[in-house]
Amino acid sequence: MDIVRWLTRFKAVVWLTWKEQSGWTKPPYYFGYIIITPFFQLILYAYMYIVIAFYSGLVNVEMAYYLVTGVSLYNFIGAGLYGLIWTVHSEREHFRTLKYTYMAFPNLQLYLLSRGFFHYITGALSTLVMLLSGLILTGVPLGTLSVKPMLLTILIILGFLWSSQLGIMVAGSSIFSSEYGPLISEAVGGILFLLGAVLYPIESLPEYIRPFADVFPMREWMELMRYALNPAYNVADPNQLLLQLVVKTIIYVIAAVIFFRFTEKLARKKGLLEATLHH
Amino acid sequence: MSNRLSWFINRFLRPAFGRAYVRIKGGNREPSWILWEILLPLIMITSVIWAYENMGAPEFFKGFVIIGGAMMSYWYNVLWGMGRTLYWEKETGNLEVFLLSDAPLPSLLLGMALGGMFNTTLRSIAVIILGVVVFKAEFNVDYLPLAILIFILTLVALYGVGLALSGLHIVYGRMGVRINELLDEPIMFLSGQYYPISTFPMALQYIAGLIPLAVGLDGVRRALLFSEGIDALWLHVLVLFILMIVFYPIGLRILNKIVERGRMDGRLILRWI
Repeated sequence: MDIVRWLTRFKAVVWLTWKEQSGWTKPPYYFGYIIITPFFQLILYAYMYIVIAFYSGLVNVEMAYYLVTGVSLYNFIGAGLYGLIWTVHSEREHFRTLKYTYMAFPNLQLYLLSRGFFHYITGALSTLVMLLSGLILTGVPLGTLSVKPMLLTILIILGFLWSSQLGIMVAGSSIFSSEYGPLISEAVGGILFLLGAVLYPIESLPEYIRPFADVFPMREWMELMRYALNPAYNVADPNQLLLQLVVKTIIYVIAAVIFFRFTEKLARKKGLLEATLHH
Repeated sequence: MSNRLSWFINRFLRPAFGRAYVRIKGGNREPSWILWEILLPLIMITSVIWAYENMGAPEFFKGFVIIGGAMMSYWYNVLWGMGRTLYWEKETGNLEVFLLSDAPLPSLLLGMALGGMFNTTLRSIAVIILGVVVFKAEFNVDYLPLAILIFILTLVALYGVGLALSGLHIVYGRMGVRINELLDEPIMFLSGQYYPISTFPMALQYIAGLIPLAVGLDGVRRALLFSEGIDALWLHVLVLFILMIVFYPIGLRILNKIVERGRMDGRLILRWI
């Protein structure tokens, strides 16, 4: 069956990514490496809450929960997104293998998706560590959490889908520029952090910025993830949010397929798949 | 002119300025890059300031975040601009030319650091100005000379750290890059990028005291935000001066040792390791 062949290819590329990413050390060190950076990222932001509690003398468990879940869950999206987008840059500019990959693998979009999938797995691992340690650090009682496994699974799949398709679109654009490719990926990650209900609710943003936040499915995903981890978390209408998230995800998938086909065709025509500019 | 002074000027400073020129010219040849490099840190600074506003933090935290964001760029400059560049030069085949040339490696690294610091300063000033205009952060410029002194001492001490880290990239390749990445967030946390390090437990404050950026950042903030003079900040100046004197020879020694080891192992021009 065709799907079995695609899954075999998918698995092979995920395995290749594991080898390429972890080839510089032994597996236990690599797992330490993928956890240390996000862990310190978490305490960098969690400590903001601790400092404010220190200054004001007030403990706000809801705020701590919001902040810790925001930073931890962003790590899942950010790790996958960066990993996927950077593939174009590293394979073309650094390892100079993109042209060979292009000839060897029948579909560049699926190749990028498979490469990104590995980063989503490592992102999920570090997110779990971040969540648990962050909640303990900020004094959120773990006993109050009650995970909704079904909703959580659906949300993880949807999160992978929409963010990887966003990554595909950014990767498609980055084929055209070795200088701006990494900058675009950082900018997209930064904008998701700024407008994605990571550190603060969208309602606290200036009004003229809120419509920009609605372009991304990040807010819905974040709010529903917080709800799926703790049903006591106050969400106005979870079903409505889920519907919005599904619709936006479908739009992202369709847009990514169309956009990437267009950029790939154009890049091939201009000979950009093997063009290196030493950046 | 003594031979030693002549060597220092011609063989050390001139290559350093030559390398700095390349970095300044290269880093500013495309104006849109400058815009990006100002906007990207601003996105993170804006996120943190809005988060603090949402938490009801005191107003001076805006200044904390802006100075933290601007000064942290110098750490990235040391980590990525000095160390990572050598890795990149190795990958593109330039490192062997560097090592064969008459210019000592620390001189070229000084050039990278100076050029990078110049570029970073241009962007940091823009970030601070935009931060003041957009977020209405307030700084007391009466103590600007003291803040500049602390800032310069911080940069010189950081150069010593950069020397040591550069060696890692020459010999360890990808592992050096990963070690660099591992140093990013812990240093941001320990330097108090978004908050005063005085809120740390005492043991953590002592550890932070060994990081030039943490001491410098705290000193600059206290001068510009809390109007503290030399009578309050003399310890910062002293600690930075000591770190500067200690880190340079240690960094140089580590670099020399690592390069020597790389020569013996034949790893200096080995790519993709």
